[in-house]
Amino acid sequence: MKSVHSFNPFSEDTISCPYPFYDAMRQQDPVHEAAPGVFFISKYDTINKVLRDPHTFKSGEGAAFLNFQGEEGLATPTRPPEVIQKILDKGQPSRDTLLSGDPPHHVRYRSLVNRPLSPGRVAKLKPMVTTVVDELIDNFIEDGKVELVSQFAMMVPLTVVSITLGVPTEDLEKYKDWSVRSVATLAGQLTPEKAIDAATASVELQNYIAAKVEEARKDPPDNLIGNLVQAHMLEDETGDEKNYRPLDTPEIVSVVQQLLVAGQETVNYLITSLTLLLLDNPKQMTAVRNDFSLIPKMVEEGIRIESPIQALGRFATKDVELEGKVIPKGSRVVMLYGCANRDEAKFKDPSKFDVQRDDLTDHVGFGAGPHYCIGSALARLESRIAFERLLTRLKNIRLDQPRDSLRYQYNFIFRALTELNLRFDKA
Amino acid sequence: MKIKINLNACLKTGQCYYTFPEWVSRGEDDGPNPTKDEIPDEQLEDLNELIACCPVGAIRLAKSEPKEK
Repeated sequence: MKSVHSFNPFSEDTISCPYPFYDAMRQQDPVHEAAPGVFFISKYDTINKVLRDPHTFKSGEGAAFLNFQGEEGLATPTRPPEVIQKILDKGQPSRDTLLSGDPPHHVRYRSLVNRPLSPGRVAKLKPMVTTVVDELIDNFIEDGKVELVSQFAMMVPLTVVSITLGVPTEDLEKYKDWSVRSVATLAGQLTPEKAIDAATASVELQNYIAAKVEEARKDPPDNLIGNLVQAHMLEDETGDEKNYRPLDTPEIVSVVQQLLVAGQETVNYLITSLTLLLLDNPKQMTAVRNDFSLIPKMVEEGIRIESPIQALGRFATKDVELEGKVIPKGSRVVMLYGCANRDEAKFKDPSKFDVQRDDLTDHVGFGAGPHYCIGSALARLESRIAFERLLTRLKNIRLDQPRDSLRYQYNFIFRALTELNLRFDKA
Repeated sequence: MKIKINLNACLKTGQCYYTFPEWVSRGEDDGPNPTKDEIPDEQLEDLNELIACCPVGAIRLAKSEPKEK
């Protein structure tokens, strides 16, 4: 095994295939100071500890989301360059709500969105999601080939979320364009032109949502935005009824935009990675084809072995010891989910894709503790239906590009194939 | 009303005890422990919030046993 110090954690090579680096870290230096003040947490048990202690490890002030613009960007909360900030100033002021929230407010924001995203409510979306998936397949099934990312995997969550938010049909193209462009900020290293384009789209999207919120305040529709304008949140610790207040528009925009971004990219990457895993493991593909009750298990195994979100961060609010190493107050703590999910101390034969494992749901691909993925029920539903319909309607699915031409985004957070060209026969 | 948690479905995410510490406590293995034998029906609205906060729908409500007279 290579020495953990021989890897550059931030290089494109390491990020395209992080697993040898992860293995070295878990074995040799489980709490690894990858850059000054930046601690990588690699083991399953340690990550669970961090996730369940939001007072010592906070998410706010830019801690949770690793705005990866080089290693300096990881050490401190990055401020956007002035030209980008000027664009962002035209949007909604930022608020720490869900992903970026901390106790005691985080749980209050979250409670407002728990119900519409609860398993019971999400199950009712099954017919809608099935229609969305089938219509997307209709668009390419006669071609005998598909570029899965742009024609399917990205479009499933995008369409489902836009319907859930109540985006009217006439706005759909505009909305899709903003969504796709604005999430580019999460794609790691951006050219200055791309960064400006992404910020512009993000501001347009924010202002669009803000306009929808203002409309909804007059006549609340029966959708997520309608629920949020009617919601009241406890402002302080008193529990006094009169201290409940409605959410302001920037707060609602923050909640909606986080749901949108988190829901869109992750499911895209999961569907794409899972498809490749099935192609690489024909026996598992046959097993799943023969027994669709394995699909939910396959989805969990995909989240474990190719976790769509590879890493999220925290800041230490005090000096704290992990695995015998002192992490000074103010340090960035990076939880490597993709690494913990391959921890041999937790998972037997961790690099093997096996849809019949007995501890399938133990992965930390959705996190754990107070920030456990709020959209997990919807992500599970979308992914399951996507594969039920793909495997029902397509057969003999095969790669339509050389295996070694597959590329992953140069992206520290997401495990994201840039494209996946397939050929298939109609079933 | 009484809180019932299906421990076979539970993923120990902790949502219940982070959101409703007054009703559910965190066990040693990070699993949930309902702490109240009886919750008044007037709190049904909050109890429904508790049910909704579980990402796998492992929480349900049961009628409390009638008290012995």
